[in-house]
Amino acid sequence: MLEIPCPWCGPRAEVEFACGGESGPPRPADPGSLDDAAWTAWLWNRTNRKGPHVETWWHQAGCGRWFLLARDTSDDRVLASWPIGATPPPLPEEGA
Amino acid sequence: MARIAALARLDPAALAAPGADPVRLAEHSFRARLLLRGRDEALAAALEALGFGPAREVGAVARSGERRALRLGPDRLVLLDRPGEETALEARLAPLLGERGGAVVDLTEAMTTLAIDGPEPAVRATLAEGCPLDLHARAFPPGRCAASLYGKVPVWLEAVEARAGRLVVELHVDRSYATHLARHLALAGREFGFHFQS
Ligand SMILES: [Zn+2]
Repeated sequence: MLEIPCPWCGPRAEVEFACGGESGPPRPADPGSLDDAAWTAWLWNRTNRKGPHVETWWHQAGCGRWFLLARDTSDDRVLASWPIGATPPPLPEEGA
Repeated sequence: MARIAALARLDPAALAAPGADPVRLAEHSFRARLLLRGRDEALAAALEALGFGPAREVGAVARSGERRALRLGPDRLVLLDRPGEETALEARLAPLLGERGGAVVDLTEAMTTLAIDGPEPAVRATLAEGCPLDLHARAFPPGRCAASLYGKVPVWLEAVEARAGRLVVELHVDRSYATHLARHLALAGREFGFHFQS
């Protein structure tokens, strides 16, 4: 089980959380102006990279807040977490 | 209005396990329980109006006489008080929080409170059986609270007081899960001896 550092509650067990998947690009300001391919790409396509990436997590059984978490997908190391809207801490590059 | 305790149908004898100094479980059914939501400023105003000191940090507990306020999240606070106080508290807090973009919900009869007490190591071990929190005395001393799980049941925990080697912890839980939670606690506490106060 992962130990997830909630920005408000500190380190907690993974069972208290739900993962919202990779943190995607911002929602397009005017979805009506996009064609199907562009909308589908925004809605579904993620990088699924090997290495450090950023995902959204929800502290469902704890404080109830969503936040961002950087995790290395190759070894499951948790690198950092921060509130949505806050400046993310510096993260290692892929392969570092 | 008839008020029925959530654990009224549990048989104390069926849950009991012998022990010289058993872990004890009691239910405080009708404690006033209100959930306050809002930004820091709104919650701070509510705390001040009720005579509490600040409780900004998540996990902090503020006390004012019999009233307690548990800071369970950056935008949530749970207020506990004597049975029967909930209606007046809600009426008083609703405009105060509403003006500041917050809200108050009376959860008194949606939830119940189980209090577990006994020798401190036995109480902490009984809780650790089902709860993934760090329950070491350094991490969860009296005067701290947390929202977490026991088994799969969402619970709000508060370490209330430690005295003469004994610890009291309260678990606030949705009523419909209370019977399951009490049975799970009874199983977890068996090895220390368990007594259920109906
Ligand atoms: Zn949290």
